[in-house]
Parts: sequence; C-alpha cells; structure tokens
Amino acid sequence: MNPSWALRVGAIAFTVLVLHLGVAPNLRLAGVAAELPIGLAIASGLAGGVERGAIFGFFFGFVVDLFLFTPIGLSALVFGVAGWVAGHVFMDRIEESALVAALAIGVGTAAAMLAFVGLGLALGESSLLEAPVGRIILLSSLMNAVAAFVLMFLAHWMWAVDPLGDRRFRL
Amino acid sequence: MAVLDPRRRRRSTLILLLLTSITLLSLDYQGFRPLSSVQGAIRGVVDPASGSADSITSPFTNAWRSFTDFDDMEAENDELRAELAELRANAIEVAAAEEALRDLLDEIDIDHVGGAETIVAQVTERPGNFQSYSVEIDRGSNDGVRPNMPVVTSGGLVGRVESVQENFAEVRLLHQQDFKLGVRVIGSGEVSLAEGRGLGRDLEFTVGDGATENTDIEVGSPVVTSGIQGSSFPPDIAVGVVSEVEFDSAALELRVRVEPVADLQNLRFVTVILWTVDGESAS
Repeated sequence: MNPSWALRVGAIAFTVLVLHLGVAPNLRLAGVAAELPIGLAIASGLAGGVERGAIFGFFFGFVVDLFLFTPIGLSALVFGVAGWVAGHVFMDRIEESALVAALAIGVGTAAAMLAFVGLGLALGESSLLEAPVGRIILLSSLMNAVAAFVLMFLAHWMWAVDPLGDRRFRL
Repeated sequence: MAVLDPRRRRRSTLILLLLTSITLLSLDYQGFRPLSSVQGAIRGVVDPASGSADSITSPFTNAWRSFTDFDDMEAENDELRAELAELRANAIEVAAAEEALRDLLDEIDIDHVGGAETIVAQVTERPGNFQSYSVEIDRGSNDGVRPNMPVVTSGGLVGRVESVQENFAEVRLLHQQDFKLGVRVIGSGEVSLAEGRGLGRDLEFTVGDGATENTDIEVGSPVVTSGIQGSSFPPDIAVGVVSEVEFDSAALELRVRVEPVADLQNLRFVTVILWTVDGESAS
C-alpha cells in the first residue's frame, strides 16, 4: 500500500470524524446536525470508483459505528453499499460537474439514511423512530449537498496519489 | 494496487463487505468482547480530539446557536428570570426542610441520598440525529461508575447508567419509551410506576385502585423518585412536575403526565450518584 495514500485517507477520515462528533452537533439547523461521514463515503465513491468507494465506506462506517449506540456493523453496511453505488455513478463521470455531484451526494445521503433507519428498525432498534426521521433526512441531505464541494475536494485529494484518481471535477 | 483501480467493479467485493457487515452485527448482538476493546482503543484516540475541536470552535458554534435559536432564547430568558425569582424564595424553605429531613432520616437510620458520593461527568457525545435517547459521559468504571447508577443535573433526574467501559459510559435518558421509574407525587403522596414516552414527550403514570376524578393530584405538583424497595433509584430525586391529569372513566384510572425538570436535550455536564440498589459501589 502506498504510505502517502494511506496517510491521506487516514487524515481525512479522522478530520471528518472529529468534525462530526465535536462540531456538527453544535451547528444544528432546526435541531438537525449534518451527517458528514455518509457524505464523505459517497464522495469517495464518486471520486474514486466502485471498489475504493465500497471499501473506504465500509471501514469508515465501521469506525463511525464505534461512536453510535446502534449495532456495530450497521453504518459499515450502509456506508459500504453507498460507496459502491456512488462508484457506479463515477463510471458515468457525473462527478465532473460540481452541481451534479452535489445532487448525487444529497440524494445519496437521503437514500443511505433511509436505509440506515429501515435496517435499524428491522434489527429491532425501534428507538430510531423517536427522532423526527423525515426532517432529519431532508435537512441533513440538504446540508451534505451544500457541503458537497468540500467533500468532493477532500475525496479527490484522498485518491490523488493514485494516477487514476487525480481527476478533478469542473465548475 | 489492484483494489485501487477505479475502473474495477467486482461484485465479489460488495458481497464480501455485506457478509463482513452481517458478521459484525451478529458478533455485536452476542456481546463479542474484542469489539469492545477495539471500540475503547479508537475512542481513546478520537474522543480527546473531538473534545478539543468542540472547545476550539465553541465561539463560532455559540454564535450560530444564538443566531438560530434567538427567539427561543429570548422567551426562555424571560421564563428563567421568573423561575429564578420563585426559586430564590423557595430556597430558604427547602434548606430548612432538608435539614429537618436529614435529622429525621438519621434518627430512623435510613440512608439519605444527599450523603451518597457523586462524580461530575462531561457529556462527550450529545444526542445526535438518531441518538436522542442516550448520551455518553467521560467517566467509566475507572472512576467508580457502575451500570444502573442514577444520573442527575442540578435540575433533576436525567436517567441511569446503561453500560460502562473503562473511561466512558452510556447514559440512558428517562424519556426513552421503555424507561421505568418509581415516582411519588409531593402533596398527595401517590406512589406509582412512571414510563418514558419518547423524545420531547412527558412521562406518564396511572393511578388505578380507588382513583376518582377528585383524586388529589394537581397540575404543577412536584414529582420525585419514590425509592420504594427494589427501585433502581434512591428516594426524593426531583423528576418533574405534573403537567396533565386526566381521568379515564372507562378504565377507572387516573392518567398523570409528568414534565421532566432536567433539560434532556442540552446536556453538557451531569452528576452520577455513586449508588446502586444492590449497594455495589466504586470500592
């Protein structure tokens, strides 16, 4: 493994995780905090392709799981699939437009969070319904869409060491 | 490295990740201990960093909160000023009553919760979007925290310790739907079992035997923990005030709602009472 690549991935994952845990809960909009980790998992798939998106999403989701009270493996599963699906979108090169990337991250966040709640309920986590699910999904998707430019920049920088990952999306 | 090739889209990768996720989920449900060790190690690295990020960005985040919550804060300030005036008047009466209570309990050799050891803890993970029923605190078994210990703020009861690791613990908040606690209504002396009903909703209990429309429970009456035998809370911790009393003539029972006094959605510091029903303590 390229040590520079691993260092970049680790640094980005760590930074986004710290922001998610330490800062985002204090920057709520109508009581809803941004869900940056799922946004990064999707951006990593958009910028890096199917396998990189899936593997990064899975491991990043696993780390996020360690900080939640939902079962360990739930976020890993959702993030991994989200990265994998986003990677397919990469093959169609939609990430080359910032606006389309923002749309993909916003819609992807909504779909992933819906899957998270659905799977959680299937696993017996009925307390998930205590939260205003519709409002959370709507607002966090919008926030991730707004943050898409930064998330895509980070994801591109993360994969840029690999010659195949240094593509940039155009404004 | 082959796996880094963005053009590859092997289904086997996805299948492998799905199977690994399912394995992780089943291991977690079985309480697989090595997962807890990994959890403790990673949190040990990330928690201090997120705490620092919280502190560094607090001027900005405070400004954001005052901007987004300005109207609520203004109304809340007015309400708090009125409450403060009332509390000042009550404080003297309470101090006198507490002294009398302590003397009485000493006299009849009953443990008074005011004498139990406590430990202050910081809420390291405030309720997130889907975590409104639990919070995490920065104290764990190394500090003497044990499962089922009561957790309070200066306002009143917050919940109980659910699970404990070496340096952190999960606190389940009392508005969770399956949260049960024995309560006593000050004034009427009615004792019952109250239950949480979800985020932002008041607790509820029913009074069955002999209840009538005229049963003496008034809106605004203070409610405390009952501390009856077997209860997982010591007696007389403030829980809330009666917010609604409704008589169900079909079931012949009185339905009483209790608004918690502690602000469960903006917790930063809490106090763990080092007390368990079976007498297990830090030592």
